[in-house]
Amino acid sequence: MAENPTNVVARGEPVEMLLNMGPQHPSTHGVFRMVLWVDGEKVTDVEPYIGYLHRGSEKLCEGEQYHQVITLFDRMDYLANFNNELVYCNAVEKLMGLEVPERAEYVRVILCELNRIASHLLFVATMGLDAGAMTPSMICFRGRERVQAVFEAISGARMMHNYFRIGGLKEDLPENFREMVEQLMSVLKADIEEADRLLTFNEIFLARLKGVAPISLEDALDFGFTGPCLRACGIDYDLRKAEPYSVYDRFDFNVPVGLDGDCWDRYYVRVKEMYESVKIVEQAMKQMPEGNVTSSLGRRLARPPEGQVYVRTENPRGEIGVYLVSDGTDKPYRLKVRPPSFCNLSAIKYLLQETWIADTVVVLGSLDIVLGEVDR
Amino acid sequence: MTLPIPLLAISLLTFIWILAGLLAMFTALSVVVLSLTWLERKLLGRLQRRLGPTRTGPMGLMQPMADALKLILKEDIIPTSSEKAIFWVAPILVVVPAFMIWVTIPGTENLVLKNLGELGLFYIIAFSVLGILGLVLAGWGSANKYGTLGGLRAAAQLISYEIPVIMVVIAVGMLAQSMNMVEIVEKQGSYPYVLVLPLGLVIFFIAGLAEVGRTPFDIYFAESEIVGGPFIEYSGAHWSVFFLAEYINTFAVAALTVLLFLGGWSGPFLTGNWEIIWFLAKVYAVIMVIFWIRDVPPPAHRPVDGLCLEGDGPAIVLRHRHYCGVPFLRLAPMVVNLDVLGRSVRGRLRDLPAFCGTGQPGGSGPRQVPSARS
Repeated sequence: MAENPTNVVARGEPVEMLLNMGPQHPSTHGVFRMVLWVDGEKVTDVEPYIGYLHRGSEKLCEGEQYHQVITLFDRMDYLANFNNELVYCNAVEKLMGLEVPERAEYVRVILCELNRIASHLLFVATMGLDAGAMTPSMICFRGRERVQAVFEAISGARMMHNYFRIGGLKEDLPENFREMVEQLMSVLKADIEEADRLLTFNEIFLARLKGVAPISLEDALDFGFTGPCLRACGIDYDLRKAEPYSVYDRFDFNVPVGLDGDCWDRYYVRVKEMYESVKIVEQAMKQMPEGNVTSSLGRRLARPPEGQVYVRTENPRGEIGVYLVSDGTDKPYRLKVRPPSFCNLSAIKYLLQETWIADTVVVLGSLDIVLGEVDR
Repeated sequence: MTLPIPLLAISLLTFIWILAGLLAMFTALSVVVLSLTWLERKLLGRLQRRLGPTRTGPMGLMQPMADALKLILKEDIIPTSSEKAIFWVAPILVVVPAFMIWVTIPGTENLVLKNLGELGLFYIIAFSVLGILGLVLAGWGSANKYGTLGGLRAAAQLISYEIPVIMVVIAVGMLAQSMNMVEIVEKQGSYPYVLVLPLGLVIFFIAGLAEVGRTPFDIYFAESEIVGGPFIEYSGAHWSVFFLAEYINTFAVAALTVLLFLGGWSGPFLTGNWEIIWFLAKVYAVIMVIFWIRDVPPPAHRPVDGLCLEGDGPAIVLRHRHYCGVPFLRLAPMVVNLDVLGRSVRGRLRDLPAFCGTGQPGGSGPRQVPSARS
């Protein structure tokens, strides 16, 4: 039984308060829950709780045929659907030794990079909201909505696209795709720049984020950080460069890295990445060949041979890995996902040492978690 | 005839006049609040390239009415664990001082409910502090930890920013040789005091923003972390009372800025009570600046930037990390977004090669992750 607070007070010791944050809290980015022990406004300890959005996705995958699993991947990281479809399709293709038509590869890259921009725009919006800035969120959401309008024209859905297929795509792009994307890129660049100009070097934003919850490279690697969170610590580890998949080795782009690994660096790396993604999309649009995009499987079911495969790609949130075991039937025997935001989130207790209550939401925001992926 | 109360030895007619005056003030302020909410939504919308309210009446003019109606009709939830009496009293404690300030704020030379003479400015400053008591009680009475934190933050914020306000007000009083609001404005007949005390205007305005908790100083109800602070458990009509008080206070800060620094109702072309048009025009201009500020910078929630609370023994003691002037000096450039803090950080970060990436085209082979762990 806990000691009577009156006695603690009588000895002149500080009294800790237990503060429950979430799962219904506007700044926990979904249904994440933290229990904070606070001393005044100082956070002395934190206990994260996850699992409120657990749907058993990995188990569900075992009951679905290979082409049906794509829809489940759409719903894991629901802010980067195309990227998630890509890693799964890549895994099955690798297991089957399927060749993907070149045009399909280019379309995949374009859509994934557009999705990366959309996801990072949402990050900038929520980062601003967590810090209390309202206007950047409006700009970012508008930009994201423009990207999603293009996605809708292509796949028929704003978010759960189900457009990639094992070995190709569902169907070819709409005829006006080129104009659509060119039109989009000009306004999108303006949106990114406007949000960047408004938020990045704002005095108060800097004061809230710079130097908050820094993490060293060694610790970041120990926690299994990947993606922008790791690059903010000063290493240019990006799977698109380090282990190029799809056609990423054909594009000229930079990998932005940070210096101090603090919240602001994690924010700024993502902002810079959006500009790089714009570069990739523009190059891919130029290089994209004509031709077939559909799978060589035709209408047959995918039946990978017995075996196992691990494939990883660079998601907006970091490195997503799919470990797939096949027993030769039309359903996966076992499918395990290594979700980037789950691994990044594992450091929350470490990051929230010696912070204030006001920092907790900013730190959590800077990790850019998606609970659909954390809980699966 | 006189009322049989010794202290209120006034004639019945005077009594009725007082009641009528109070009613007029209440009505006028309510109309002002309605106009402010509409203005804020519209202005914020335009600044963010949205339209703001459009569906309720022409240009969404009926939106404040719709909001008010909705709030009144909503269920008023009182948490079972709350201190009922305090929970009930707190909104009243917030809204009454907000109205009482207006008793002596003049619209023109004659348009003032009760000119308190030399007591005027003193009275205003004294009553502007009282509202915070209601906020602390609201937070504590809700029996909600977020609410309590918010209430304590409100108190800390008040202590931080009350002193700059008082210093500036004293400066104005010395300049005008009077604390009488009307006299202060009349002294500014030839030139407004902003020309004499430009820094005073800036300090008063920013500290005023902090006192009423406008962005960027919405520290005590910080939506993103303590989710509304003292207001967290309030709903419906109770909540709308807080809302009313907040807007009246905002209007009061703008009005005081105008009266103390911008020459009050003095202006060309108009005479007599028509001068209130000048007064209102100036006040609404200041209000627009306040809304504009809400649009641009994020708030300074982090206690480091202004104030902090630390648990210390029996009660949570409010302790300043800096002396009250210091957070203010640090925040002032932030509000107008000057390059004071940013310059050092910016110079270091923006042009560093690290942020420009490695600049090599793709396919340059895998990079080694250093195994820094030993």
